[in-house]
Amino acid sequence: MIEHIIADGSWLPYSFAFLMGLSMLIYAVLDGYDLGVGMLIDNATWHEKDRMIASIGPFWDANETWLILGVGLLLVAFPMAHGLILTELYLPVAIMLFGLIFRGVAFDFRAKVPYQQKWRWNNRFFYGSLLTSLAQGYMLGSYITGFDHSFAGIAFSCLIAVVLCSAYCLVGACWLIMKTDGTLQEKSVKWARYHLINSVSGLVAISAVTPLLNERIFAKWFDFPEVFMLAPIPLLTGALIIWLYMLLRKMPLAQDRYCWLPFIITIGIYVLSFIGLAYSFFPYIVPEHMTIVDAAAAPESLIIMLFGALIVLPILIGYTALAYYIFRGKATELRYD
Amino acid sequence: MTTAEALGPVSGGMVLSTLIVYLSIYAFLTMAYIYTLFYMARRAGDGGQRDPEKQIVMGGERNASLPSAAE
Repeated sequence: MIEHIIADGSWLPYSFAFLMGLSMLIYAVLDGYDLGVGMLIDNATWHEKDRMIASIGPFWDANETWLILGVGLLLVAFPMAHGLILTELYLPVAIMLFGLIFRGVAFDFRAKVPYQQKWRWNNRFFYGSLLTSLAQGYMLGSYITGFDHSFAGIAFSCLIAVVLCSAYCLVGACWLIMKTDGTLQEKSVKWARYHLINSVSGLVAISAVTPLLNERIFAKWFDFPEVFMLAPIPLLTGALIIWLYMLLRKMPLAQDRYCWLPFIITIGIYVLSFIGLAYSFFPYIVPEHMTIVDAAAAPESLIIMLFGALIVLPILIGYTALAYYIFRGKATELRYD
Repeated sequence: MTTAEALGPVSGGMVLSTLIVYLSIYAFLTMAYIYTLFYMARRAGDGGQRDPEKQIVMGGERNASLPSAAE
């Protein structure tokens, strides 16, 4: 298998598919938690909203670079797929951008407008985050169905939209457990429990329905020796979910021990779900329409881009790590001085 | 390839409506920006609030979390 991929030159498209998947996964975790915090502020008090937004303030805009990288890689490495996907998803992409615009400016406006008007910008921040997450979930859903525009396809995409919002709220609440303390932290534990149950029910429903609707995916998961090789993925996911649930029942622990652990476990659940999804689609880049090799650009252009990507990626990872190191610890009061 | 040949299957009405929404969002944001700019300029001109030590603006994004406060 490996020799074959190297010999026929298909390692280049596969490498790009890997890099693109990686940046999408990193995006879902990183922007996922700040979008989740954006949706959770609706349930918080006036003062808690400030603290919650302060906890994502230094990170949120850098998190979005991963989406740019992912879509950029799609454009340069798989131009045919990029054309197809973005034309199909025209409306949800437009809606996502409207949400992102409101959310992005609300960060600054809410801190600068007269005090009596701040609540308006808090609301716009919430709705911007909600709209962005719903649009992304809808896009994921219609991607999974291979852009099925029938009623069932749209209903499935709407279901994924809600599940993804809940999954973002889960990772957002886990972020807050790590970055806050006191009553806000206790509240975040409750939010995390609530959204864990919600998003896991959604995840189970989707994992059960997808193979039943799609024979190819069913065969990939349940054919004979595969079923044993793949069993660790759902088993490990289940174990992580139960571990997280047990942990959240006991949190917060004395001296704030393990306040970072729910966030890490949630990342694990995200990674495993993503691997499951990627395995189901492989070798397609647009499910049921276009394979990775079919959609790839010419090898000559791919190799040039690979050098570009190998320069950009370490820089991205480096400044991300630096930002998280500098702003480690609990989020504190905001000051402009 | 001409522009017409490159056109995707997205309908003109769809493109027009998203363009209108986009333009109205930016018209609204421009007004909000100018309004806030005047508000901040007026406040900065007010001598009573000039001492930066006393200006604590809560809820913005900068200087949000400092490692020193972790302990």
